[in-house]
Amino acid sequence: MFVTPEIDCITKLPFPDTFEGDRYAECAAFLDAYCELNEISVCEDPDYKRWDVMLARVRPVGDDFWSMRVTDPANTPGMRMLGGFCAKDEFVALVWEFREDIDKFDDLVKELKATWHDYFGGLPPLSGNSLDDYLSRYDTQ
Amino acid sequence: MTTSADTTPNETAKLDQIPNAEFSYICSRNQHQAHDLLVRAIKQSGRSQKELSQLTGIDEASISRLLRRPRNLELKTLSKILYAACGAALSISPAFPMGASDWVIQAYSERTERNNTEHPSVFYKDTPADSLGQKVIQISDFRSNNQNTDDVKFLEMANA
Repeated sequence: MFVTPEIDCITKLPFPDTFEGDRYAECAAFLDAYCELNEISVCEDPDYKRWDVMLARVRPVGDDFWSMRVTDPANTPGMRMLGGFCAKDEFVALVWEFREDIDKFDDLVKELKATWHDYFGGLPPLSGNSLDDYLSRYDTQ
Repeated sequence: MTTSADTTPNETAKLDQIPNAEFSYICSRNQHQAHDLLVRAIKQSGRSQKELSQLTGIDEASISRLLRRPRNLELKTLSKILYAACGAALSISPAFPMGASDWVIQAYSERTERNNTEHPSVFYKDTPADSLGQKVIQISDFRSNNQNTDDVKFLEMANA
């Protein structure tokens, strides 16, 4: 997994001893689970996803960007980390937000697209025919 | 700060409580691990959720909910479903995602030496998302080492 310095900073100990700190901690555990090849729930269709799916593709589908959806702690709207795959099982997370701070999700995707271009130029994220092209272990909702 | 002059032999300095966020991280990690264990076991067993419900007495909707994502699974519930799926009991051992305290490493070494087993590499690196050989690389570092982003080859980066 590859992350930006900003994401690395919030998912590293010590977490602030605040409400936000709890949320960063959940995010860090989520990343650990991904890196340790734990099974995660995935949805390819952004229009028909369950509220608690862990990884979901975002619109426009053709751009092949995905959202890691941290839905804990339970009494919070959660967090989103957006990025794309550079190879099978290799996710590049570039932008993150608390869910309640995302006014228009499409704007965040535009920011992700611009950030991806800043880092990788014309190289697009991995595009596959099925989920097997992206992930070794997953569960469809 | 207390000094020996301030404490009696039976007093010890009060310990600061571990921050809640740190507990959140550890608890969430454990939930993810438990969930993954359960999901793998059920998949390998081939048991359906209906069969598990019949075997455990836990309603099917609850089993479905438990399997969808990591939750605060009760040990009893985990034990029942795991056993129903494949006849397994849990084997629990500690892991140290933040690195172990020195006394824990020493105690573990002594125990494994006594058991005449090789010392397993159970100690993780000390950054949360840097486990099992997978790398968390800061992209800014990568960029500084690769001036021409058009020539970026992701596979080389992934295997570096």
